[in-house]
Amino acid sequence: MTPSAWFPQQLVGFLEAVWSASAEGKAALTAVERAAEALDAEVAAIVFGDCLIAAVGYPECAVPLKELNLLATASSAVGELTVPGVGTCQAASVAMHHPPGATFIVARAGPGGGLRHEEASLLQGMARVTSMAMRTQRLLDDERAAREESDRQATENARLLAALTQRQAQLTALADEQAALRRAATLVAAQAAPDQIFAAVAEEMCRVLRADVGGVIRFDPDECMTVMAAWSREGKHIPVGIPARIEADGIVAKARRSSRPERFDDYGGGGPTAKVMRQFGLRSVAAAPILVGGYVWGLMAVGSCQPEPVPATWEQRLANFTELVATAISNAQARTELARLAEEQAALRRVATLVATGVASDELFDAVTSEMRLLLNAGVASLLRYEPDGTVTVVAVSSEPGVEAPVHMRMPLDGGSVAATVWASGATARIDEFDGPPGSAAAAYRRLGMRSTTGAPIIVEGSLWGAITVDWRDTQAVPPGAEGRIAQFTQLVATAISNAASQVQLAASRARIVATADETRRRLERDLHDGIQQRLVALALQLRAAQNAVPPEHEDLLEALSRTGDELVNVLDELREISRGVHPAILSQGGLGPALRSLARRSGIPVILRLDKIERLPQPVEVAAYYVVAEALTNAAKHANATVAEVEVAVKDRTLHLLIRDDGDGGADLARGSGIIGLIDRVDALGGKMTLHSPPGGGTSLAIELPAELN
Amino acid sequence: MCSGTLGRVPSTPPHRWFAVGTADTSEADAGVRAADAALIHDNAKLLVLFCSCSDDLPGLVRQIRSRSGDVPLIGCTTAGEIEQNGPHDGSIVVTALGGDGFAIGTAAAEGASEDLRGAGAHAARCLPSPEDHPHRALMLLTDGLLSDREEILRGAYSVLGAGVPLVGGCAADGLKMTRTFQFHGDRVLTDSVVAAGIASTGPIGIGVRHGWRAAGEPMLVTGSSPDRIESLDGRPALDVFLERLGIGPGDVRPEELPGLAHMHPFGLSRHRGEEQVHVVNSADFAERSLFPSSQVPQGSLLWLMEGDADAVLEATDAACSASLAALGDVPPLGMLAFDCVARRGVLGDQGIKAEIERLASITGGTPLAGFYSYGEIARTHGMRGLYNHTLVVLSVT
Repeated sequence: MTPSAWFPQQLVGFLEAVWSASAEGKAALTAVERAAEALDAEVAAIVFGDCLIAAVGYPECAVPLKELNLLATASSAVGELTVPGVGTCQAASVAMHHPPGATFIVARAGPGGGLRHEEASLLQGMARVTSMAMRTQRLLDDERAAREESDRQATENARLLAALTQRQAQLTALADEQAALRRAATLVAAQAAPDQIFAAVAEEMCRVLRADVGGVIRFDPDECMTVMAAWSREGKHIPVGIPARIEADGIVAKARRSSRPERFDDYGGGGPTAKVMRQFGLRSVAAAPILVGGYVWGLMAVGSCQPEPVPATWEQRLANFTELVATAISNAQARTELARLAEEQAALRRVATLVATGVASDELFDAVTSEMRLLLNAGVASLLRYEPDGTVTVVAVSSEPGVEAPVHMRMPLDGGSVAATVWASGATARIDEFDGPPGSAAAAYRRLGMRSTTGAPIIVEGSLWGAITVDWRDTQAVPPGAEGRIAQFTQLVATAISNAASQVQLAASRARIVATADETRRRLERDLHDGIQQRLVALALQLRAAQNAVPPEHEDLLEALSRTGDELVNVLDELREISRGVHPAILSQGGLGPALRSLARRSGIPVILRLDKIERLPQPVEVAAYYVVAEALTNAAKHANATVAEVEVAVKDRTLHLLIRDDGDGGADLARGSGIIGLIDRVDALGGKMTLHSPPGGGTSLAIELPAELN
Repeated sequence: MCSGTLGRVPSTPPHRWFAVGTADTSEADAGVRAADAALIHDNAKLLVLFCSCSDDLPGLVRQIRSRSGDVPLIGCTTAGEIEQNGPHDGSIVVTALGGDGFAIGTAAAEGASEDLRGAGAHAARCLPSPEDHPHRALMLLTDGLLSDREEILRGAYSVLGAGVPLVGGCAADGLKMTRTFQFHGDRVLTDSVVAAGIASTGPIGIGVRHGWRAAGEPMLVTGSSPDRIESLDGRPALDVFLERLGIGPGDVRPEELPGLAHMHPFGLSRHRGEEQVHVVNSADFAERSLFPSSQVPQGSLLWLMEGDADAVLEATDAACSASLAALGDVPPLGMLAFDCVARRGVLGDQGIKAEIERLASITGGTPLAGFYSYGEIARTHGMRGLYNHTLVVLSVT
């Protein structure tokens, strides 16, 4: 083969090298290197404006792009380049088809460095091959980049799809959980019974968590627990409501101690719980405490029969359900407390109403003990009064059916009874077990089957008056705050006792005033009768005697003496009338019947008197009745323009009933008119009642009740 | 055996100095002795170690380093060591460059076969560039059994450009062709490229000669790949090669070919300077293709080279002279010779002794060190710089 074949073979070798490059940039670098080698050149470069595509012959990062660019844009295809460390090189440049505007430059050192004709042709060919290779590589690069981008996007899409699928699964699980929580919450909101809520929550919880078994457990005193609700995926029967002891090293005890969610991944150990768990095929369990009002009420537990441990998220997800259960329990407790409060308030109101209406003490005390016993769900409630001799009297008592608690019994304050403790301390007291020092009261209540008792003092105007005690049998729980609740009633009782005492004192005071006034009237009437009246009678008799002694001829004198005598009789009559007004002597002498008949006769208007046969009544009662009728008849005649009055008098049930009616103008008012007020005081002083009915134009009716017997 | 040669030994350490120490590896403390002979001053900047393969190369390095401390060290195993007194086998030759006039950087790129180009670039980046040390060269010592070693030079060229000459050789293993070793610091490496970047205040000269002559018409490489020549002038390369030698296709056995080929290398034409001489290592008798020692690009014009011992010896003179000529009037401190093991085959034992004597006589007693290599590196112009059958002489002033 002749050297004329050199050119194509060089180009073929060049082409193979350049086309074997894996990317456009590498193709350019291979091109400049192979061109430099083939042409024995120091420098080869491809430049594109201010952009260097590839170069060899310069130290890295020190390619004189500006100089190369000047050469590339020069009109001549040949020129010179100064290469550091080499010197001046003869350069040749060829425009490239790709990248458009790019130039392929080769520079060779030495005076004879310029390319020969065939070398220049080779450079042309190399530039063209390079253009084609770079363009192809660009397309391949673009395609590769597009494919990589497509692959990346496909990978990203797959990742996103997987994430989306996972997220959707999570959302579905979350939605299921939320729906389950909502259903349970609806039950809670509807104030369903706690047992119903427990059962529903146990099932919802297991379904959401895909647990095999789950339940709600309540902690009881004395290291015990009760399964309140349970659910099994396979429908296995799990007994509920049966108390059981808490195993010291079990998950229940663990969660109770820590007040945090706990888990057991292996129930392979011993103990009753492990045995039960194995019966249900459980391999691992998780439990979360139910916190109600700051204390651990119980816990919720779920278990799995799968070989792998329960998921790590179970404990936390359980917490969502325990909060619901806690809310339900809290609500139920709140409702119970509310009902209890309402009941207590109602009882207090009833007792307070009795106190306000001033019922008799016995009635009040019976009501108090009854309310107390029922309110506190007790066996016996007693109201005691401390006596000055160091004993205590059971004033009132209420006991449940079948219990005969003593009443009106006096007992010594001995031993360690609550009554003795309250008496000694003046404060509330409580005995949970009647096993302390024996005492009469404690022994009495123990005989009745009572186990615990609580008492509160009744303090009237600063002095210990008595106590209320409440007793429970051993099957009855002492309600929390019992002492305080009893104390509320003792205050009401103290108020009632204080009021009653005040009323008695007031009535006695009024009675004393009325009695003193009546006595004064009687003495005045007697003084008038025995003194002035007698002296006037004597004077009249003396005047009559003097008149008889005057000669008839002294007609003037006789006439004067006669007028004086008549006037003296008038004075005497007037004095008698005054004396009767001060105190009707006939009342003292003949009783109420004759006195009222006398009064009716002397009334200014006709009086219809209906008078039953009446025995003599206590003097204050007769006086009060007399003056009431007298005042009523006076009012009827003087102020009401009545034409007739009616008076009814009767004694029934040891009560004197008076009724005075007239046909006058009506419109009378007890608050007006001192006469009536005086009557009210009289009636009140005797413990009687007065009722006035006097509509305007409808006449007046006055009804009075007075005790027929006085203590 | 132990000897040392040195350039100049003034009373105070000179600005630049060059010294060579040698020892026989049969001596237990050969490394120590050679190092001591080379370290004639305290301010050594670089140690270059050439030695034959032995069982305890790390121990040898430790001996040298026990004397030199942290002075940078590169080196490689050989197919024969060169020093001023002649060629040797089973010896160590330690060269020391010292003084403030040298600024040295070294590097090692391991796993070079994985990324030949990267290894060359990495090695090239060790070259220091102080402004007051304007003369620079990068000495490369590569694993001699690597294929496509041009890529190493391309990598180095991409970093340094045309302004820094590349010089060096390819490590050898005494023609066992199994495993060569390179040295860097305390380490003994294989499949690596080690380098010393030399910046000097004095000129550095490189001479390249092979002494072969082109014979006959050129052959056009019409098919090649990085490791083989597939066709020449459009025909199977092995057939063309044998035909040119006047040997019938069936007259040579595969195992005879390497010896035959080493006596008849190819010359690759260049625009200027010496042809790049390549040797055929072996052939694929089935595919009728040739395996050259270095890549031969398609489109290259090859000449079958011819020569004899005299011509090869003359090349020794020429290379040495060319190297010295590059120094101008500055006398050399010492020389490093990278001599192709194939030339040793051509010259024979006596011939290589004569070669070294001629080198020594030309340099007038200047310290000399070097080794017989599996390839010589001398890039002084253009991009190509990998040779076979060639003597490369590096002169340091």
